[in-house]
Amino acid sequence: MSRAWGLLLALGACGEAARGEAGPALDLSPDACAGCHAEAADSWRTSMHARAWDDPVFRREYEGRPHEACRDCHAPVTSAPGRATGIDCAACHVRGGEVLAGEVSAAGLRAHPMRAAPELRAPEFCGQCHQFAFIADGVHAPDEALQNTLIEYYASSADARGLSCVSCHMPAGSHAFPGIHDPRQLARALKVDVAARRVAGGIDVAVTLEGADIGHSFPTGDVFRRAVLRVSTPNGVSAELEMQRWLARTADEEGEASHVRTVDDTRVPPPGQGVLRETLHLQDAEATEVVWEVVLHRLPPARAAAAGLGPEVVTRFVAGGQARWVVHAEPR
Amino acid sequence: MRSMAVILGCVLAAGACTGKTETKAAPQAEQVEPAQPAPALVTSPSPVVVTPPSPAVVAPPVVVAEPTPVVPVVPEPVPVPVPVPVPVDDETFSALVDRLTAGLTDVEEPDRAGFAAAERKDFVEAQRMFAFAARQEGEAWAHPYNVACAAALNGDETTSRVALREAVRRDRTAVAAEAYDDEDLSVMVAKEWFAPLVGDRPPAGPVIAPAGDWPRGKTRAIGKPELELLKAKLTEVHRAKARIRGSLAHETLAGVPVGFVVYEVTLFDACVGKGADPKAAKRECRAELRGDEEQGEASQLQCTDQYLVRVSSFAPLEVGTSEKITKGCTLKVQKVAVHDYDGDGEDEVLIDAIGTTSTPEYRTAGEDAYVRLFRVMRLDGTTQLSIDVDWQVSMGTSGVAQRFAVRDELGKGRLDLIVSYRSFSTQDEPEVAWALWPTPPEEGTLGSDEIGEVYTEVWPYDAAKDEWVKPPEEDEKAEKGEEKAGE
Repeated sequence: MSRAWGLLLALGACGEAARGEAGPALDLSPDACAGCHAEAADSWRTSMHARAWDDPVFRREYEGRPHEACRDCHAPVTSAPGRATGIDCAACHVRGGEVLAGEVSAAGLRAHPMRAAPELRAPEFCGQCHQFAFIADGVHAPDEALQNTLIEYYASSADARGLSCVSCHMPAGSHAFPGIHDPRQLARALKVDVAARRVAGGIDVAVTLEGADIGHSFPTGDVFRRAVLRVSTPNGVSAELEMQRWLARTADEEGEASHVRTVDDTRVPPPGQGVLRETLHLQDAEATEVVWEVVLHRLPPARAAAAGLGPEVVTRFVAGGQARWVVHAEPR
Repeated sequence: MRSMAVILGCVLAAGACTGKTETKAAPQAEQVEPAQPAPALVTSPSPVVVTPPSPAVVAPPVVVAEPTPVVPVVPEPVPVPVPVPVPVDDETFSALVDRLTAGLTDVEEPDRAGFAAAERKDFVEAQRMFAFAARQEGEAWAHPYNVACAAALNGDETTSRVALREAVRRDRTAVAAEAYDDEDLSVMVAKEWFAPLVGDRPPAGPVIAPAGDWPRGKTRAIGKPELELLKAKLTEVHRAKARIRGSLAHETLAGVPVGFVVYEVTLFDACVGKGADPKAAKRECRAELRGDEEQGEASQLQCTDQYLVRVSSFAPLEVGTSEKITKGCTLKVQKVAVHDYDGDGEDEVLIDAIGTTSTPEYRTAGEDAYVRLFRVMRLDGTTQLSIDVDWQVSMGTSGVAQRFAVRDELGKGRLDLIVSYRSFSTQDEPEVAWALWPTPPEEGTLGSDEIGEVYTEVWPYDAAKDEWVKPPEEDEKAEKGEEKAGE
């Protein structure tokens, strides 16, 4: 693992799992696990973890610049790409030839060596792949996080309330790992207030976004994710608020070098860290209705389109509705 | 350790190496590349632009000549290389530094001490000092590189490799440009892991050899206190931090010290510096620099503006007007050196830099496009020769390669500028154009039947103009002949 998140390494890297240096040979394929753990395997097959290696957005990026470190988290168990099964059962549940589980059962012990591993539920376990710095390339700041979800989680009120990653992403022990690919999960993530007010020559739309059932910023994860709140009138007049991390090259503090790092962050902060407020202006003197929607792009749309990735692959609807009028004005 | 020219280059990157330049500068400066005996193949898909000498006559840009006729060149069979894995070392560079500098608390000018130790062949002490310099200056490539050199001279292959790996991580281009020809590393160059670790040798680029063996005046690195003052001054000018990438000070025969400095300022910092309200400026600047995604415009957020400035006095500091020389997204200075390049009895400053463009669409940035800036300047700050070569090469590219050299081709006792052209066409997508620049075509990279013959121009030196003057094209000659006949 080339993660900068050194403290997590004590848990053991995913890549160590299937190599099983210490223990007896296990059949590490998801199909083998499904023999006894059908429900977990079935739900896992619907997850993004199962598609971690085949996901078209990942493939587009990986094939452009394949790097060993990508495989640590997208194909940690099987090094042969043709057989990669993403973040599969063994990636999390096998270390040193032993199966790790929340509890050890007699039936389990009869099937394979195993031990109790409460760390499976720890946020830091997820952080092994959801918190890491850019690959050292001399361009990005050495401490710049490519994904920063665990740090965001620590800053959120979820941590203080005793909620961890699995509280939301493994509801009732589900191995489907709902996230941005689950519309219900997305719909619960934000509280959105959109208030329209007639002003000279148009409409001012005050938008307020706050983290709801979420334990990190929105959006989190990959640095190229971008959420967009769009307000529009029936006359086709619209305005957008982009929520993303903005990276730019800036001089280091001592001025000896410059690196690319986050210079602005317009995402919805983690719960407990404030709200995102913005006023958008619509140049529409006639409209009496303003609608809004929030969508999440896994890649900026133009870049995705250039790569042949359509909205069905990269764009997710989050929420939408009608703006409330603070002062309702009759059309002129 | 690095040669004089390299040291001068590294001063900006590392802000160090002052000891070496003061003690060893002049003798090592002789090692500037010799003139090429024959034109060699270099590649560029776009025509070279030779900016006319200043201040007087403006020569027309070079017209790319189509080589006629096209003569097939059959490349030598190229053995298929077997990739050699670079050994994995247990020790990180950070741990290496901790080990080497254990017990060291404070060292004044550690690089100077390192070079001095190397001079007396105490390579263990040299490693310690360079490692301490690395500890002090986090991201400069030169320090781990120097550790690698000292370790190599000490016969410690593993330490050398660990340090070299770190230097490569910090600036692969700079390391690859120096390491292959660095005598200190000669033992390591022969190791199987060396080339996979360091990468391809970078392009030789234009080559101009000095007329004399020595610069006529005295050259030195700009000292750290002077550099700090200079940075502060430039930061004031741009209202953003200036990063020095290359510099030197030179004392003319009349005893007047002047300086030449290449530096860059990030576009984002410069933009934000212009705004009154930093928060609002941030927003405006990211909007301004992000480019129109719908139109496929590249983001400029990761880029810099690059400048060249002449220092007319160090005490008190007097700096001229900065000239913008932006050639790419960022700049790597290959060399800043002084010689009498044209043999006119006066020193000139050579600035050789590569503009690079990173690829921000990927999570690991790469540097895919290159522009070579090559300039000869008189000490008064005027430009004698400026050559820009764009050599980005991608799949299916065809273009014309150029190479430059200086030698007394016409036998008039003055150095002439030799400009060579050769057409090419790529079939596959080369990793980077480096493979194409100085080397013969490689299998699978260039179609063997798509290399044109070499076409060479000789630009004679015109002493009256103190310039190299491009010869007229054949049709221009004919036109002039017709005009004359008409008269």
